[in-house]
Amino acid sequence: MSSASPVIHIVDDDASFLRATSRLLRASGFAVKTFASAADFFSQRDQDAVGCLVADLQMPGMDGLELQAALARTRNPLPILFLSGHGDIPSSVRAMRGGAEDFLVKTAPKVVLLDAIRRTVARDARERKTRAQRREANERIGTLSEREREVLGHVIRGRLNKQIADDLGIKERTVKYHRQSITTKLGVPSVAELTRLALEAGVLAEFPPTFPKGQ
Amino acid sequence: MASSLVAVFVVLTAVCAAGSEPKRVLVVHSFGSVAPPFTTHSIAFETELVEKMGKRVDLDEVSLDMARYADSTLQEALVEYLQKRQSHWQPDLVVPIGSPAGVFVAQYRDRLFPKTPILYTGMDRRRLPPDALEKNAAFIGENFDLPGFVEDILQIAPATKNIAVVIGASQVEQYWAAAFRKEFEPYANRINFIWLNDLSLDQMLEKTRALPPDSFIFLILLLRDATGVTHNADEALQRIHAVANAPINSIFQHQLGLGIVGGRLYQAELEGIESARIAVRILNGEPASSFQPRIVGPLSPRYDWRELKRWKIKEERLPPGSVVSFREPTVWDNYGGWIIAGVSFCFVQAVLIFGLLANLAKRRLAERSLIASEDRVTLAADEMRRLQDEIAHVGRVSMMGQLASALAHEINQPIGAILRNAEAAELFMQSKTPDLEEIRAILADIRADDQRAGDVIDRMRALLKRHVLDTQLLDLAELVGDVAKLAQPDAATRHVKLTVNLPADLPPVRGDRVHLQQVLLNLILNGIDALNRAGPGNRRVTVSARVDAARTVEIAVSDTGHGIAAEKLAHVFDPFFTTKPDGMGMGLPISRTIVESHGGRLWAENNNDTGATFRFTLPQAEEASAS
Repeated sequence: MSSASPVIHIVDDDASFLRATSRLLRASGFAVKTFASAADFFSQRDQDAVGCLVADLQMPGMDGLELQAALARTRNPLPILFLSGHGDIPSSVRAMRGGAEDFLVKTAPKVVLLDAIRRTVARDARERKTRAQRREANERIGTLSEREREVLGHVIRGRLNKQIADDLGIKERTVKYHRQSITTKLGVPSVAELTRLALEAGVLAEFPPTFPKGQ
Repeated sequence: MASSLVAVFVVLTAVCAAGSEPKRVLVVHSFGSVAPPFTTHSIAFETELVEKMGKRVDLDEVSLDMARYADSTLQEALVEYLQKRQSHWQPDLVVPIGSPAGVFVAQYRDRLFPKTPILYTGMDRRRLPPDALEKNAAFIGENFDLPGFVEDILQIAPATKNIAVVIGASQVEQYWAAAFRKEFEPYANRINFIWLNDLSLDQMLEKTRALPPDSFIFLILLLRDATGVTHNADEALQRIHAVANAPINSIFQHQLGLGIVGGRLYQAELEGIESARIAVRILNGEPASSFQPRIVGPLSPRYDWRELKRWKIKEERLPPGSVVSFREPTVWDNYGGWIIAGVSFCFVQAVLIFGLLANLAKRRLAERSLIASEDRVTLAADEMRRLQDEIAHVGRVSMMGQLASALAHEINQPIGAILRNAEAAELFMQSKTPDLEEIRAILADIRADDQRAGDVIDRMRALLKRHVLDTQLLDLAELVGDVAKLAQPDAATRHVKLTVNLPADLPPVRGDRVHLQQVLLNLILNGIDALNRAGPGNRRVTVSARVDAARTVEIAVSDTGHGIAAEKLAHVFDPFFTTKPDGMGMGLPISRTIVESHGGRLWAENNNDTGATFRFTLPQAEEASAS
């Protein structure tokens, strides 16, 4: 997990609004970086930045919604707070569907703006944590052998050693051996912990229940 | 604003006309999506076609602009692309609009559309390839009278010694530059032609800013300038108009009002509509070759009154039978004060913030007052929002609606920046040692944004002024029917029975279709609103009409509500007078202005039994003038 402090990235083609918003956020204690266009944002941003993105919806070139779609495809999808000169319903719906944290008009009161920014930053921290956990879990599960992953799939479905042995057509003792190896590699002793890890890694679906033929 | 109404009607007609297998029409554009006069033509064509055919037409388009930097390989690639696409989608009719598209289609006809009928349009007769019409094809286009354009200029400005010719450098423009040069030769001893075709638009603007005395500017086309930059000719015209020191003429009717003086103008829009009508007949089975090639000529001379005034051209100089437009007072002229008042209100808030800040800067250590002032800034912002909401409410009358929405959008940029700057300044000043440099920069920014907001208002103003009457012959039954269809869903959801009751033989009137639709829609919706508190039994709004002895047509919209209180009856047409909790009081005054600018009257009266009736008159059209 990154320990860097959050930065508010503001993208707006309106230079004066960009400056003014940056001043307010700095005066309110945030670290701020400004970009005059979506293209500038992609070329100049710190790829590992933490924080959030505050973007104008209507911009020449790549507009806010396109920026949102492009950012979602990167490995560091900062959450977005949209600002617009004039809130029209279709684009706000699209923005929210695309996962935006909020959609405000540019004349929104300061408290509303700062509140939304704090929520967006908090969401980044939350999502970042989830992503890190998933990545870590994935890495650890990646060290398992094919057979061990298979056994793990059965274990987290609550099957007993004997049942697993039957299902896979191996000896119960071999199952025990695999379980021990899994516990060592993943460093988690209990079935509950194993299940949590597998959920975090998002790999539960990889283990369809298997049954011996003829049953 | 017209387009959105049109779009609604298009949808309505489309729904009504659903039925058999749709006919496929491929429109081949010469240039991109905003390239007047080609797009003036194509928009009229597509709108008319869809209006006439509804869902029975499947409209598809390609643009030759895909091969913009036309070398032969790109064009070949486009042909291959079209061939591939035809294996999925075979058109029943191909419509190239403009000569680049026409020449392209004719050249590749045998490979691309050997059997499909072709309708060549939006081009001059002499640009049509010689054998193009031999194979199941029709033509509707122009036959420009090139010396006529010079004659038109000399008619109104006989002392003209120089004509600056504005034209771009794309292929089609090169063709026309050469053609015009040749046809202008006979005038060489009298007139010095200044050709601007090898310049960028910026350079053209420089030139037209400082032309010698007795000059005239003639804009032929501006699609792509010599530096390869693409332009919208109508916008370029407006930019030239803004800086030029000489009067301007151009070729097409839709440009009247954008800054040209006028003359015999060609009708790209009418040509679009006429070609759509021929397209419908071809799609309904008539062979394309059965249509005689058709030339759409110029209109009788027409002029922009404001330009005549500006360049001191006497109306006696105009040829007999000339039409002078834009003489009418616009909505802006009548209610400009009120609109400014509304908008200024926004401004007062901005100024208030500014004043507040200036004040703060003076006594920057008086931290106590800051909390109170922050409340005031928030209040001011709330006030602005409330005002914007109110302006947005007028959206029902679409002209005001467009104004409001554009205004809200444009003006929120500088106002938002002012607000953010004010808030930031407050925070900076709470510090023990405020950064005065920063605060100075903030104040400078606020001042600049204030200026910017002012410019927005100026632009809005120009926009309102530009929207002047576009009069045409109107069938009242059709107009009323269209608007009733539009209001019907609103009436139904509010349990109001909307009835149209017109005599069969209403004479046509002359007027601006969109404006009159707005008036009628506004009256009908007001009628529906008037029934808000009426009981469930008798909730009716009726539109009726009758012909008056004085050759006027009177249209009445009556409701069965509670009527208008006697003391209010005299004020319903006052701006900002409203009886509705969420009303703005602009609908009726705007409606009255529109009716009066058509030479009619609009008034209100209470019915004998129950409810009120709004009536307006319009003069009958004289015999339809040939155009």
